[in-house]
Amino acid sequence: MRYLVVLLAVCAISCEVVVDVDIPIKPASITVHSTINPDSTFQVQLTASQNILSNNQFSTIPEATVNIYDGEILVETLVQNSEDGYKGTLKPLKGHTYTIEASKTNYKTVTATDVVPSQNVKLSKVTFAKKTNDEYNQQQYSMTIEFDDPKGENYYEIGLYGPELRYERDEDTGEYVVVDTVIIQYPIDSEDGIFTVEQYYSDRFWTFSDDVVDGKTVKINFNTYIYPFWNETVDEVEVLVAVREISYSMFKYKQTANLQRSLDGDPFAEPVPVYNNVKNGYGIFGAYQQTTSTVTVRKEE
Amino acid sequence: MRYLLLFSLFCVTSIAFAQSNTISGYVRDRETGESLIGANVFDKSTLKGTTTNHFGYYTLPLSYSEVHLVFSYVGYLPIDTLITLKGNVELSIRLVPQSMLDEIVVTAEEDLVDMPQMSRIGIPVDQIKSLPALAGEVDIFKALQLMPGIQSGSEGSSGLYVRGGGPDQNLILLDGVPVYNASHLFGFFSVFNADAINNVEVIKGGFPARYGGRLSSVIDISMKEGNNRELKGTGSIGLISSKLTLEGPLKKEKSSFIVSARRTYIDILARPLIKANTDGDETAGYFFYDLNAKVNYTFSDRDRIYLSTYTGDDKAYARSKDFYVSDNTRYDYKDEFGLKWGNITSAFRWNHVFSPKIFSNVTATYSKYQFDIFQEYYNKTTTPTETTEDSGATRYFSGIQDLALKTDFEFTPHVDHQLRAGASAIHHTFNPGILAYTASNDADTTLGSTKTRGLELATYFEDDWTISKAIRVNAGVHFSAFNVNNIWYQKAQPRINARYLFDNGLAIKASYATMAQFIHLLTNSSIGLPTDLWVPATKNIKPQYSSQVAIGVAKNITKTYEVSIEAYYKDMTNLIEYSEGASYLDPQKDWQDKVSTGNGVSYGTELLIQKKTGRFSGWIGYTLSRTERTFPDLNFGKTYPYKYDRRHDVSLVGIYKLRDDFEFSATWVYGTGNAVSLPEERYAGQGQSYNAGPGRPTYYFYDELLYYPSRNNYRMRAYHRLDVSVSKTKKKKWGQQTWSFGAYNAYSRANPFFMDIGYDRSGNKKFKQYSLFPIIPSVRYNFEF
Repeated sequence: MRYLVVLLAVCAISCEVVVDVDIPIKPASITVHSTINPDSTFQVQLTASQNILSNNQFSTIPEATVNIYDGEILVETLVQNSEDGYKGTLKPLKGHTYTIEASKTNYKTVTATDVVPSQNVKLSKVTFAKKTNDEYNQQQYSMTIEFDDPKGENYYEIGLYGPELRYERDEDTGEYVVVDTVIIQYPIDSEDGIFTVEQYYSDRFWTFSDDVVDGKTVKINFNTYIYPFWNETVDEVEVLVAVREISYSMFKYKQTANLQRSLDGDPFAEPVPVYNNVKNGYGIFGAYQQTTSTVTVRKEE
Repeated sequence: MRYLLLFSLFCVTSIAFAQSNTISGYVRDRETGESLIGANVFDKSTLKGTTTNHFGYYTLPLSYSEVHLVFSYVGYLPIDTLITLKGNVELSIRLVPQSMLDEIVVTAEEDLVDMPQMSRIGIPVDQIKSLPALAGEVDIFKALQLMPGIQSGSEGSSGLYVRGGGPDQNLILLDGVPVYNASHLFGFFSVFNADAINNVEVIKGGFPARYGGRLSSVIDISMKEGNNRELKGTGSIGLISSKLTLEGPLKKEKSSFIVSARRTYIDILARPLIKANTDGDETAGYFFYDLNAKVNYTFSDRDRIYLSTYTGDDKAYARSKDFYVSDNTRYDYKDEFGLKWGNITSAFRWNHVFSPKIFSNVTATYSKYQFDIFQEYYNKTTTPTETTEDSGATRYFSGIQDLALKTDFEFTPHVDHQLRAGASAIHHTFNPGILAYTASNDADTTLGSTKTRGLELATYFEDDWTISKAIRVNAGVHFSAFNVNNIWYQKAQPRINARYLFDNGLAIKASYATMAQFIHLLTNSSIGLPTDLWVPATKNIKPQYSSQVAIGVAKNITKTYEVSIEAYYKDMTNLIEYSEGASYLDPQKDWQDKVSTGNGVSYGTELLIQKKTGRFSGWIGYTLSRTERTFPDLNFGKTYPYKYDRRHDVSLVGIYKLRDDFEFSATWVYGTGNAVSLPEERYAGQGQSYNAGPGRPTYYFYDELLYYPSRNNYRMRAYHRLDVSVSKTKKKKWGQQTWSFGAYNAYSRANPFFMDIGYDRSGNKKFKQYSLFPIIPSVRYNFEF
């Protein structure tokens, strides 16, 4: 940081001139956010882009026409179910190529196409084991998963779901008691070199490409916490391991968007353009298909 | 191998027909004994001739007995002499300088149209000293930037970008020793003190086979040898720096020395002010210095040795100390932060004349460049009963060190053949970025890449062959190999320059050269910093290669104007750049994980019109070029413009000698703005929902992503600048003095340095362009005794 101060001192002797740069002010474009999968109906969020010099918040685009095509056949027109989302009733099919077309007055019509992956990932091994406590004396567990990667370019995401206990204070006893259990996504962490995509804090899926394991067995170790074990009365917990095969577009978008986010204004880093598969607009129309495995983890394993 | 066979054939042919006597010797300055590099030596009747080499030596085998020899060099009275050859003749000449010259000549070497070498530039050091300079500090590199095909980087920078190449692709030689960082003050000045320099030569294409190791240019700088007749001194006092040069004989006509030193003194001037404002608790400053020294000894006409060295450092620092007392406890603390970088180079050279036709030079060199960022702290707590201390330091350092040995032979079997051959070995030690942390209460920690060693071997063979009066060729091959981590890379690099001279004096030239470079400079593209890392080719990061073709014409017009036009095409492979998102402020990552490799291409046309004689001299340079990069992992694999892609680059240089003691000079430069990556739009990234409760709406929040249409998508404003200078010289009893007054950026153009997004005073977002240097007047007092 002090080094930056020296550099700034050099700049301080300079004269700062503010100039208006002639960057064309383009009309706002439609930004698409949609990641489709065979387990959910079509859903899309549309927002309007902003000029780089504007300070405005991103606004959602209401009353747009959003069509979904399977190949070249219109299969569904999505309905706006709230002011921020468009939903359908159909679920995408594996291996099918879908195109989204969104149009709205005063905006250029945008289109984007992606293919739903068709591979059925078979988890050959999922194990959990107790690890040493972390620096805050919290019990950690290791999670090891194995599956076979087929030949060719493939992209994956891995996540872990499990229960979280919700507590409330008992007015009479003053103790906290469990009142509810909800399923949340657990944070997982890995030092495996296969992960080259930056992690974004709000995204607990870990994303990778099969570049270095193409056609081989993928074996990855994670560290995690099993939250309910913080309650002394809980001895075993059922968790759900999710492996998603994601499309190339979804992978590239996550890879580049997370990298751009991670720069956080570092002036010495090279800028990162974000992958974009939306014609005439921005965002991502991605696809994945998910395989899950339910595992019972015992506290003393 | 077929190239070697071809040249062996040349050699045998030449020797077979060589029934000649040889005239050989040195050409020197009569007043100082300084070797004259590139002086012309030719037979007036046949126009056969040669030029002196880097040590002032020439050799001229002639097959006839009556010779009308002419020795000439810019700024000196030529000498005509008639010689009857009855055997080999050793003839060393001392040319007399024309102190009252009406003429200023731009090039000192062979006639532009005569030599086969193309893409070559030589600017006399005296002329460089006549040009306007930033803060009055004469800078060789800034003078070179005024030539077509050679560009500056950012505002004020001394970096050279030659025909689309990067700053690492310049082989900068000081007395044959590579200099790895040629910049002072974050690149605003070069490390070469013009008072200690004898000759500067730049080759930007059609490289002769004797040079290798870099892709884009050779900048061969020779230090003065020192006056071997009497003690002389020169110096100057300027606004930011002063310098002094002393030279003289150690043993008259046998041995001489030169010592030249320079230092800035902004820190010394500012220190009392800073201390006064901080009650003596804080100090901060910046300075640079450099020192050139050289001695030589002539054992005989056949043997001479030279020992030269350069050392220079830049240092920026800030120190603070203070104490306070609380509850009978005294707390003392000291803190120091600094950044320093510098080069050391040394060369030992031995010239030996085996025979009049064979000249050899053996050079042993040492070169080291290192930068070092450090922060140190010391805390002491003193209570009535005990004292505790706590200290620590953080260092981030990097560098490169070379030990090299090379030998070169020049063999002239026939007046139409000048053969050269040689070999070299360089041992590199790379320190590509180490972070070391020490603390009195913690274990020492070291992070970053480990030291790497590499061995670079090279050999070459070259022939300068005058086939006929019209056709002359310089052809050869350079073979180099590099070993790192038990991996060998090797590359044969054929080179050829050819010239066809028409009867009307128009010369057409063409050249082809392939080059290999086994080291890379990992540089941040936003600003050139001394923290740029020199790294070797490795198993993953391959050596850089290039091939360049050029074609051009050259013609002298009425002996007043020299016009040359060249077109070139250069492709480069295995270039490296920081990957998207990579930051060099991340020492925990190995450098190889932070870079991408790709290719580059540059092509263009260069025009140079020089007026070489008369009271008014100067040149017009214009370059029309395009430089692009294609990296599979950058910009989604699409081709993008290089940051220093400059479509138009213009330089106008004029020097007007109103009287012998009064000179005016001006330069004007124009360049297309540099390419930068700027975002054009913002759009929503990942959304997060928040539900305020049952029956209430769900709110979505989006983070922000920036849309860059392409890497280096935007052009900053065009760069243009006028510099002017006036100097007045007066003879004194003790020598002479010169006052120089100048203005850098005379009309105070706000040229772009870098751009960023900021806010104006109303809180509106704006693109901000930051400029350095408005008009900077300068005054300098120069003296000679």
